[in-house]
Amino acid sequence: MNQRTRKDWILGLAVLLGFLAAWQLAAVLANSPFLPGFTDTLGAFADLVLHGDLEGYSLLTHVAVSLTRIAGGFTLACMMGIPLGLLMGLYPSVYRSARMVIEPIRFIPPIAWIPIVIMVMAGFSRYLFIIWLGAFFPILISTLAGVPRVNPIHLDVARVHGASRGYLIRRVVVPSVLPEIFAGMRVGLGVGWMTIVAAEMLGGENIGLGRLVLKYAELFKLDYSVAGMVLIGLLGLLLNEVFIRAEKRFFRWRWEVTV
Amino acid sequence: MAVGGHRLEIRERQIDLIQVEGVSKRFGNLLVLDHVSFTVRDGEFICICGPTGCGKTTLLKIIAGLIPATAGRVMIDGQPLDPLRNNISFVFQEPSCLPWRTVFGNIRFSLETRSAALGNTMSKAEMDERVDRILDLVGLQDFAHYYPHQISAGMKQRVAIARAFATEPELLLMDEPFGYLDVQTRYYLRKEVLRIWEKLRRTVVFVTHSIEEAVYLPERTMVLTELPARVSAIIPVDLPRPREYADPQFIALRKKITDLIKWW
Repeated sequence: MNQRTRKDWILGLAVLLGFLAAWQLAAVLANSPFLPGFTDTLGAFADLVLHGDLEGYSLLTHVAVSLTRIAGGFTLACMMGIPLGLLMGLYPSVYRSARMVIEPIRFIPPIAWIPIVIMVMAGFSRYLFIIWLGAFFPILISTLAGVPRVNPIHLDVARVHGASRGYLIRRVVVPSVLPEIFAGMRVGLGVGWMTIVAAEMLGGENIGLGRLVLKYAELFKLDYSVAGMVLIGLLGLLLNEVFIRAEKRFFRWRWEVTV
Repeated sequence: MAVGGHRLEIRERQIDLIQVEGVSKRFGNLLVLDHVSFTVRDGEFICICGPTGCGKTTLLKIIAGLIPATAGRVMIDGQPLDPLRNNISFVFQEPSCLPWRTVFGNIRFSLETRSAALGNTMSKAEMDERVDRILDLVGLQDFAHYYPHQISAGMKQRVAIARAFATEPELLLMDEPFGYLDVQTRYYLRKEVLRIWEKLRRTVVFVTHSIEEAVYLPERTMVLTELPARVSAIIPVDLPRPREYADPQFIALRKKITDLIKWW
């Protein structure tokens, strides 16, 4: 570890401790059951880890179930967003003609869909849809924006040797756009993860991290809710970190790695 | 030899490989090429030389079939160019290595593309073997697993040249391949290209704005005029090889071409 990263670490840690202290101080001063302090949250978290929640579900079950839902919605978003993004990037007329539909829908927050989702969907499909909504558009947009940035010289290199259109797409366009696709997937995963509470609000089941937060909020045990929130935040951070590591690995050929 | 594609069995030096017949190119209102006609013999090394921005690159890309001519035609072996029948390669002026592939993978790319276009005519082992051979030829064996961003601009251009040679093209088109390089690398690569050409004896059309190159490399040099480009002269360069830049004959020929090309 060099001098600089060491300094960054120490500074980062100091800011974190300062933040926790300020939080604790605010809670002590407020002395309200609606503002749990850091120690209360830590206690709640320990209780959840050791004894599970009040219905007996372990914390690990909540995490595993939420991750499964995310994986489902995110996979669906990738399966639709990447091919559609490539299609629209390769044939801009498709995007231009679909723009008036796509663009407004893109800006409707997933939460706004909740009433309609409750009406027309049931079970797992509800989670899938809400998470898909969050993840799909970032993947679609960055894929389609990446296609025009393919270096035309790279296409000519293949054309001179008689490459077919399909070959150009598979061997030149896709590898060129892959970093953009990956960046879109990382953002999509983040947004999808952030919709977890909204998605689990309407699942009607008692497990999942979003459900955990809501379950304790209804009982005014906010220290437990905040513990769930912190865990959602930390897991999101972890997922993002895993993605960035993967990007660095896959795209070693890019000397500048997006962070 | 499947990737080699169609070749003439008897490589008579007098056989014309390329016939450029009255090629004109217009971009909007701008006439870039004006009835350009010339022929290139099979196995010949010819330079196309002219002032910067005179349409040399456009002419080369028309020969390669990358852009269409507005009028006239290019015949290869008596027929219009067909990338499936004619085995051609192109070295671009701009950096053209695929950044996601290693040096090895970049050189292999031309073989993979050609093989796929012809219906998988080459086995993976054959390709690897061919790439290894060409890596030796251009002296890049120690860098086979480097990515383009890890090597110098000169080496990248050597990779592009190696990639072009890998398919053993009957026709190699080179568009100011040393334009972006420093002087040392340029001198070195000139020698390299000549060495490879002398070994493989492929037809080379080499575009340059360097008069020195136009005397050092080819058997003939075609000089183009300023825009709209027409053929100003085709000059035989029959100096003995290896050529010396300070040789009086070299200097005399360089002066001759300089006088033809002068726009000041």
